[in-house]
Amino acid sequence: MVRLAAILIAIVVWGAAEASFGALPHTEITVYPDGLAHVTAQVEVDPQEPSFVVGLLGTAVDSFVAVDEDGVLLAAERAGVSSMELETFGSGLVSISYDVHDIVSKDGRIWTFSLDIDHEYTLLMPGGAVIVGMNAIPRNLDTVGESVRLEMPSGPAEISYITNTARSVEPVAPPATPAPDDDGPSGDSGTLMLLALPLAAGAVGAFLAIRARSRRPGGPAPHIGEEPEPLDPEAVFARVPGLRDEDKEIVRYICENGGEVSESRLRKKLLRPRTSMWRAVQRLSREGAVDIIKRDSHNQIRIRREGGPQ
Amino acid sequence: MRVYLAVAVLVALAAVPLAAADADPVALHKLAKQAQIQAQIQVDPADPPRVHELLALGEVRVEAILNSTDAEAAGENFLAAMQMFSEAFQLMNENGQEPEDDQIYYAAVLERQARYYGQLLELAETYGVEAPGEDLDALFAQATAQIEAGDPDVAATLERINHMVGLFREQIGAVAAQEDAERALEYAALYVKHLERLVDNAEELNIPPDGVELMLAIRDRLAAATEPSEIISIINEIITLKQDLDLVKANQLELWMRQTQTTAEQMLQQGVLDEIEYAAVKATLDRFLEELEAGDLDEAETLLTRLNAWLSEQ
Repeated sequence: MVRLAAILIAIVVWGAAEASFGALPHTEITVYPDGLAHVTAQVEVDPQEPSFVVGLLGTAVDSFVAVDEDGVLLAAERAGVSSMELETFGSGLVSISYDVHDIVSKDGRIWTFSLDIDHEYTLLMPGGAVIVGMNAIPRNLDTVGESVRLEMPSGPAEISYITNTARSVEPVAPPATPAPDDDGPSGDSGTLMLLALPLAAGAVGAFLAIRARSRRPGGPAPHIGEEPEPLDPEAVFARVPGLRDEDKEIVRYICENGGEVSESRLRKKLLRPRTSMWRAVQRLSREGAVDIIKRDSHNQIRIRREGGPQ
Repeated sequence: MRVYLAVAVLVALAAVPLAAADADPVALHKLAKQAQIQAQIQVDPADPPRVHELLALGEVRVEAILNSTDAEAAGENFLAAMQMFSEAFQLMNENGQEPEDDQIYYAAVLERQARYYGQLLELAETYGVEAPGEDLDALFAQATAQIEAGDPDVAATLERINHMVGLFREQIGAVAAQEDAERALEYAALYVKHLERLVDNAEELNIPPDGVELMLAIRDRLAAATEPSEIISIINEIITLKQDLDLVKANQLELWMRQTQTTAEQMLQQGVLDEIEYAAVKATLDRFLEELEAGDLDEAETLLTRLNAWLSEQ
């Protein structure tokens, strides 16, 4: 009903044409060690338009998924070499994600990320990658585990990096006689293993998380007779470092109100616009600070406890 | 030895968090310093003189980042240093070789598949589609173990995962397509009502008779359309027609009215407004509609402006 009302509001009139629909307020790019990149973005679309054409960051794309603010999977069709047409039918905010093959290239041992887009984006480099050249000044940078995360400005950017920090110079002579005690990993492969193992571990983690989720559709079983520990926002901040100040404010408010509140209440109490709050809770969910629980037509935001569902 | 030195440097650098900054010279210096250290580790005495020259020039620029008088100068030094290191690495790269490592490749593929599968599981829950379950879980576990063991059979396992995930995506897509068709019909029905209202108010909205005829013809086609793509096409025609008829002003006001109505409803639900206040809001909105239908857009706008000012004070 709420959805229908929202659609009605949107289409009964023709106006608000000045709104910047189609803007990409936030794009995140994660570069994998094999040169593929995963892209996620939120796109504001005009609810009065039945469809929307979204530009892609490359031409070779797979695993494309587009959902609207209600979690509805949107039908998508290739509209050009690097664009997709989405059937939005009244949606106002669309989240897209896909893997792209052609924004990272490799020459010898140097990888090069190249992109030229008209909005800022976040770029997460592969774990252990060392940037050895770039032609744009990042607006911000920090580290996430072994990965460098860059907040990149709009415009052309080219970033060269290496993932294998050991250099071999040709010609490489085969070892004449292996040393008797040399049973450990040899130079390059040892370094690569250091890079590969966290990846494999990450994949295992993701896999375990999926298994846990797929086997626990109703969320964690309640512990009868057990009182949950009181929620301390500082504990959440310690567990999830690097949260933005405005996101910490959300976490504090939820902790002070029993650990779970509705998204609409958060909007009202913290005086944030709908899309800003939506983005903030999505961000907190991605960071592992909260869980978003869909209830009928609204979202409940719950602090994720240590060891809780991922 | 170089390898272990490189790893030690990487670990040491990883332990030092890069400062968060908006083009902060300290953070830029740290990033450029990483490239410099990596270049120093990798440069070989046999490399061309140009490589050594570039590294020396780059080092000067790295140090200049921190000594820059402002952020702009720091940025210029950063870019210059990175340009020199980049060129040096390109020259070093000419004799370089990269051993391929399948383990890294497979681990990345598995990580992406796990991420994609996780996304599909959420969608499956939304659409009530049964997940592949333990068969796929077992394949993920098998692939993980194979990667850790360096087992080349992981390629076949990943292919099976890819196939099963693809089928799962198709299942979800099939269910979603049915609901998509229903959404399209609901959306079309709202546009049909909207067209009818425009036709009813054609005189007040200064819509000429041929415009009304066109609207009625489009309404009939839209009411009969069933395919989402056809509905999209017809609605795009309506949008173009409305642009041609310049129906912007009245429609903007009506959009604002609907938004105001929603806000008032939410305020009532949240207890910000009581029933009496909400009834007063509704009465004002009814008056607004009367003014709109009578074609008095200025009066309608005034009513709405006052109402919104009052609501914002609650």
